[in-house]
Amino acid sequence: MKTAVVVFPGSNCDADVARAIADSDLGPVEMVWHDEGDFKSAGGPDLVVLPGGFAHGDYLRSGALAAKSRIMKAVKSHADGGGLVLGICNGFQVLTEARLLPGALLPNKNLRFICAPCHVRVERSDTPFTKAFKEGQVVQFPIAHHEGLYFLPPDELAALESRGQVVFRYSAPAKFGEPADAGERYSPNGSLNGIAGVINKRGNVLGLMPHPERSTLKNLIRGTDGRVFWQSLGEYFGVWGDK
Amino acid sequence: MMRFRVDVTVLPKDGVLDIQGKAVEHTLKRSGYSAVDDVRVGRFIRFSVEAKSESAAGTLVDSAADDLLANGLIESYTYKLERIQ
Repeated sequence: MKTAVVVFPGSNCDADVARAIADSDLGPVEMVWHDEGDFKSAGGPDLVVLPGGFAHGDYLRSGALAAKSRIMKAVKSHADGGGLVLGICNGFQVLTEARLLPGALLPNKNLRFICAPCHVRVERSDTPFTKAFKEGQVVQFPIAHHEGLYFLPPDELAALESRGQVVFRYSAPAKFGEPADAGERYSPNGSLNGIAGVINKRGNVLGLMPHPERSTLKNLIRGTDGRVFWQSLGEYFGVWGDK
Repeated sequence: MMRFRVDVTVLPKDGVLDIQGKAVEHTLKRSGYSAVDDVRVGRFIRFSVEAKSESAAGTLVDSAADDLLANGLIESYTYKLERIQ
């Protein structure tokens, strides 16, 4: 499995993602500057990650300028060919601005930058990004953003839900033996329907505001639920089967 | 060729939560401006553009606004053109 991590001016989670993937033994990671025309690795990457940060200073709108980067043409054709694309936090904002994912991320309801651990419920375990989770499982990933309120007009939001494109939803902490409650009242940022992460119709482009890479390394911050996220990708690509 | 000054105003669409607008409105009202309502906070972008005609300039501005300056899902825009050369 080959991964490419795109680095925009202002990205600040690129090294974290590369480290999390390396720590999960998922194979080589290529760092790609935003102004490159294509990926360097022969045959192209299996997974492209758009990391968190403040690409281009979040000027105009978060992700808007980054969505016009040269490398985004290669990211789009990778996605069009069925390749996996993952956008975390600012990367999610870039994917919505690039129209690779539906919706938009508005300023948090309390108008504050929120940096906090939070709980999300895994709504689907049939995606390449979540196959090692159990459906309905509650995991703890930290969030750190100012624009994380997921927005779609009501009719499009209902259509998104009915197509099952919501993969992560802010939730209450898990209670033993009981299904966890999730939804808008658990959104730390006011996100509609408590949406924390969505996937495209085809199921190969995922964006989420929480940071699985920040709950991957042991003894860093509380929890290592993020390991299961990378494990999903490893299982999907049969990484450990090769050994 | 002619040169135009372009003033683009981008605002959150009706129905899109505008937390900034709400916060500004709240503070205005508390500061005694009780007659103020419907505050929306957006962006103002000014640039100049060279074009063969005013309508050609307008077409270019529409394209730039749809492509980058405004996100049509959540924002609407208006603009003014003023010939400067």
